[in-house]
Amino acid sequence: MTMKNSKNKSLILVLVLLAALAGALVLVNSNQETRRGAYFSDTNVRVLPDTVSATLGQEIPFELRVETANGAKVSTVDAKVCYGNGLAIEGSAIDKIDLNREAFTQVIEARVDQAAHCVRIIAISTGILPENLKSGSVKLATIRFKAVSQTSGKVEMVTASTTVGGYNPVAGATDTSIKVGTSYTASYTIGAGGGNDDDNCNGSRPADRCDDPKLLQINAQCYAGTTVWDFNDQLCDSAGRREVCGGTNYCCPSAGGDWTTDMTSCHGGVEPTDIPDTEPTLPPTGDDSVLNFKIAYRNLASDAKCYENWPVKLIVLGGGVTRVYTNVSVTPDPSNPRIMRGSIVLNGFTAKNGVAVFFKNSKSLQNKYGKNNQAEAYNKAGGELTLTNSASSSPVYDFTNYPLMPGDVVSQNGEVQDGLVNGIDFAYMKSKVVTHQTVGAGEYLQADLDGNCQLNSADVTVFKRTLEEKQGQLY
Amino acid sequence: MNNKYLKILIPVVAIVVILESVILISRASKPQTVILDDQNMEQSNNAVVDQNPVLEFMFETESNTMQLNKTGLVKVNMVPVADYNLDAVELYIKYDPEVMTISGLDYDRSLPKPTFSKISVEKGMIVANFLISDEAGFGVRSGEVQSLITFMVTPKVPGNYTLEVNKVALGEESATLVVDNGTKNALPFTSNKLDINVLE
Repeated sequence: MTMKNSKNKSLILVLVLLAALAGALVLVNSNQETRRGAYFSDTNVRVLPDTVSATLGQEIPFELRVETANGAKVSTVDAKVCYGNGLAIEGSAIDKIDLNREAFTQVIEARVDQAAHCVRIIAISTGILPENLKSGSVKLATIRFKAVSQTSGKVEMVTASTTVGGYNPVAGATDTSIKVGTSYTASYTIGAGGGNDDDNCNGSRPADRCDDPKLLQINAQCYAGTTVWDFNDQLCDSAGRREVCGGTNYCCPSAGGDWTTDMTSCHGGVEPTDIPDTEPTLPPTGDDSVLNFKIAYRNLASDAKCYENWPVKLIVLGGGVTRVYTNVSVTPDPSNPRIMRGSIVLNGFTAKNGVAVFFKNSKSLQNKYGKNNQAEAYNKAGGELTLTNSASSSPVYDFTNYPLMPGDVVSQNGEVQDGLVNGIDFAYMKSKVVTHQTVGAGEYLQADLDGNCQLNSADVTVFKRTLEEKQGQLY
Repeated sequence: MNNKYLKILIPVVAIVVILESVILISRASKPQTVILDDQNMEQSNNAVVDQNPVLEFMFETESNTMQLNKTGLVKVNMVPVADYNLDAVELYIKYDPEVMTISGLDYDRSLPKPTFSKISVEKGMIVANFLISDEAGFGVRSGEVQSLITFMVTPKVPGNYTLEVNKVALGEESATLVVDNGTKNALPFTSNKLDINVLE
């Protein structure tokens, strides 16, 4: 009897463990669907309008959308968009991509493979609180193609090469990028004929509509296949948002409030002299990569003493993942105080190979770095940097031969940067340098581009050098 | 004998798999931290073209009909509807390098020398960036024509072509821009297009 009981127990134990084994295997295989961070597993992508008829020579805009489920909020999209014969992206890709700045703040990569008829777009949202990120059907951008031959074809976002990342309200953190599910394509037919892009819409382009305090309707467009002018609708849906309607600046003082021309709540027109708060580097977790680096700032004065704490922003890109780190801690190199060095644990970023990084400071343009000792713009997709998960073993990358270029100090709508050096920055510089404001060593002035603690004509000279150099690169 | 080993092996394998599953799942669900930028938020900048324009760019040429391979002069002027003092004029004019050659870019001597000017064949763009260092800016008067630049056009292919001021949203590259000294903001503008009919 005892023998029999023992046998039965063994048999039951074996069966239970076999069931556990099978269950565990199922769980492991369906890991992505069960983990609580997988909010983006139901994400689809779509190209709109789904059908377009156009004529030769016409510009055809296609809208790219990401559709999330479960309220998942999008902060990054890395999309590969492929198109058929008859369409072309003429000139610079970045000129033909209109980013939806309601949802994304920056295109960090826009590259056309003319031979493959594909364009890769990487867009991110920075500076937006998680609760203000967009969810549901989120417009990424509009690509304006040119109809170059009579034919028909499709435009699609390639699922195998498109990833979406964003804030997960359940996990309380940002998901890693996850491949999307279904891609809904658009088809087009290009017929003979020429004509103006706007010919199909009635009348001339209407003016902005700024009368409704809840809704600004701006920048009317005439899209192929329609006769109605399509306005870009702007709701006052987040505090601090700024828009220009009918040539006038508008401020959204609170989410759901009314648009107002009183810019007080949108930080307009205040000279930024305070150094923005810094954030401590978070401790390493798991297999996070570590970046050791040296950077330099172009055109510092020989007696510069006000540059060491210019806030530095870093974007890393690799393995289909993009991460943004602000107020990155840098210190002067002991051997050369005009070189800034730093080491950062890239929390949430585990890629070890093929990494690219983007640096900027609070008054510079953004530079992309893809290899060590880089001395000029890195004009390739992705990067070649290799990292490890240890500060001691990860290489120290020297980017000092391609210094950050100062000059991006403001934008049209306020004092935040816009990624460009242009006449708006120049007007700001001009208005500041005449004051000859001087501060003590280590203090901060936004228009002090040479870091000598005083606003003067040398800063304008530095600005002009940057403009010349940047324009030389672009044109 | 074999059964005895099997009884031990199966539970061991099962426990290993269970442990591994637990580790994998807990790692996957561990919150990942990303620091969202809290200061350098890049704002939407909307085009200032066609929004109650206060300036007009105008192309001027002897004739809209040009002969193939014959060079013609084109002027680009600006006319404000009110008096302004300008801090900057950044002019970008699109053209098709496949059908025409642009040469001899020059600027009006009443303006300071452009900080940057170039005929970019690669981009199909004529660029002239004027930055006015004078504290008071460069004065332009209501209704008065201010000449900006001149250049030569040599058509290479017969047909109908257009030259136009590049109109893209502010905040994008190659955005034509006129900055007011008083407000430090871009002024809304409009522009005509130069239609060129090229005959053989």
